Amino acid sequence: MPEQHDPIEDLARFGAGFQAGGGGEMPRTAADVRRRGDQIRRRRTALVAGAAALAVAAITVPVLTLTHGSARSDRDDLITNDPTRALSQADLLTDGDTVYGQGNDWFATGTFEGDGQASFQLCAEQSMTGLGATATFGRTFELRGTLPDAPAGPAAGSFLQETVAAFPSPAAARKAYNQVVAWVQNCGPRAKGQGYPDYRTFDPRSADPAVPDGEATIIESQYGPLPDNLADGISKFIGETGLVLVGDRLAVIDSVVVGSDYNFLPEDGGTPVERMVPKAAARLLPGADLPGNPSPDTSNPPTPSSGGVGATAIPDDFPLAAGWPEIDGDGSTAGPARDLPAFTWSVCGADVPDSPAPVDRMIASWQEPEDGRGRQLSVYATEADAVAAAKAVVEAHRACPEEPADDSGQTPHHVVQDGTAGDESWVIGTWYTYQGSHVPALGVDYVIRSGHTVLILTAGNEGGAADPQGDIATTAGSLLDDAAEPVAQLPTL
Amino acid sequence: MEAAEFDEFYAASFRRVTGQVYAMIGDLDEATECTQEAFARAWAHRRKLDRAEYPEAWVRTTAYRLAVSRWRRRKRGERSPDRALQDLGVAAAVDESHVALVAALKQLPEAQRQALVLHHIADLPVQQVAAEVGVPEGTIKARLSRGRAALATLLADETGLAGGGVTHA
Repeated sequence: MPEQHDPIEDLARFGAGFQAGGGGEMPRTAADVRRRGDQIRRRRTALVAGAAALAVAAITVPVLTLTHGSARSDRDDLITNDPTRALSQADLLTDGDTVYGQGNDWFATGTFEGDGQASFQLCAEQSMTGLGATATFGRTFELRGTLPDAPAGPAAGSFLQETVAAFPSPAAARKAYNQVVAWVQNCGPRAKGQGYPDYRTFDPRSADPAVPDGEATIIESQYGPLPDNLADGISKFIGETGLVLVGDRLAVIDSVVVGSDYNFLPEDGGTPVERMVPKAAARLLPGADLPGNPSPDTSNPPTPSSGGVGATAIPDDFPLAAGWPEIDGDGSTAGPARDLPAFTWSVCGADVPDSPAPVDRMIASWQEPEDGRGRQLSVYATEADAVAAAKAVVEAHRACPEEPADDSGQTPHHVVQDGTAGDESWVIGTWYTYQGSHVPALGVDYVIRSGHTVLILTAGNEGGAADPQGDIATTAGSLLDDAAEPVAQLPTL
Repeated sequence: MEAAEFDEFYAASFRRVTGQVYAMIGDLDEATECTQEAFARAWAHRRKLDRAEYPEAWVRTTAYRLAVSRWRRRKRGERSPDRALQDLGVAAAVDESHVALVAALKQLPEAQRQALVLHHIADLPVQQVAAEVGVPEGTIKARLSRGRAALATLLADETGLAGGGVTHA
């Protein structure tokens, strides 16, 4: 009969054997691992986040055009016409203003005048009225998935609330602004008292409100524990609070989501609240008179350069995502949708212009951890516009067969070949070398023009390490095979 | 997190996390590769890492999820010989005494194995194990108790079968 013993000692010894320095050499250097991380980031950026930056630009441009150049006089006129217009619901963010990303968006659930029943922020120790406000309005939002396969209903535990308030003077508004910043920064005891002993806040950071004399601050926080129905062991409440000060008015944007990941890098366009601050500031500006219910997406494609094709030239049920395999594992899909960020390219240090502007555009994406695919269908006013738009992308790559090495020491290479689809098409292949050796990162864009439409199929994967040209051909073939249905329907548009 | 800081983190934590993932999944090569990939993802998401209360826990959880994902099991069979970082160089040497322990751990229910690894190998307090796994502390204590008993039996059986040839000391 074997003798039993407590295995704790075995477990402890096992752990000690795997401490730093034990168990042989490190398999790869930290620099190699960082390079691999940079590859992951670059591919994700190319497929998703880089495009998100364009969406941010589309969102912020209207604000900037109101404050710069010829459009500024319109804004000034508005202010001059009614500089003392009282604070109202029109100063609150709308569905069209709010953004989240990653397949989710905020949707308004209620608007109220006054301080409302609940605190405007977890850490607020007084209401806006208590802070001296003479008028207050609030709007609440819930987070919902926007992808076709997203769960029905709002994301449990996540919410957004914006509160706007007018004060007797700019000094009074600033005092309230500073007070709220201090409350959020020193919220530990209050959060604990509300059942969140694990409260952690990060240093406040300035944000650009993009209005004259405006000021904005953003503070992120994490707190928990989550209630049992939301707890998964790693997630917490992730708070992002934006404060916007414009004259004698203050807006507090209080965003709370449940998760373990709040990964919105500046190069991706910034955090949701960073992206909403300029819009909140523009609304807060006295006399702004922005529409109360603007189009849900200020990132909509621009108006056509010439007439002839309607602004919804692509049927809503166009099978843009047809032919992709089922997601297996921790992947995701997005679209087809008109409000997804448009594809962007930066080649040899220059952004490829998205010009001429399409009259309608639809985008879809499919991603697994090391394999990303996307499709962008654009309809142009004329065939000539479609030709010009396609060639802008193609010729930019053709003119740049080799880029300077990037920060990680990798050199991107581009090749353009003729394709076999549509009225004309091209395959743009991108691969990378590091110190003369191929590295496993590959990008392929299949640009197909058919009449006045341009369909771009894109893929990023880990090919290219041994035979980049062969991998480009294989990937291009797969892209076209998978997209047989949408390609076949292009002539119907 | 800057590069130097990351490099330090990697050097300090890689072996430890690899051992923990190895104990959880029972495959050292896979544990090494998944841990490496988790560190690469940590660098790719370094802002997230900056905000993680326990960066090592983030890497461990990511590596473990990678290891158990269906995607990874499928892709592993298809991997090109040229795949990045696939040539792992000199992997951690496998101590013979570890083999029997890992073999025994593999026979435990996943929940018990996870609790044992996090508490006794990763040296986390019960409270933190509960937070990482997402269950009450009492549940972790029960899993630890049952897991220890089961593991003791398995190791004793292994010793008996091997005629004392497997050394745990």
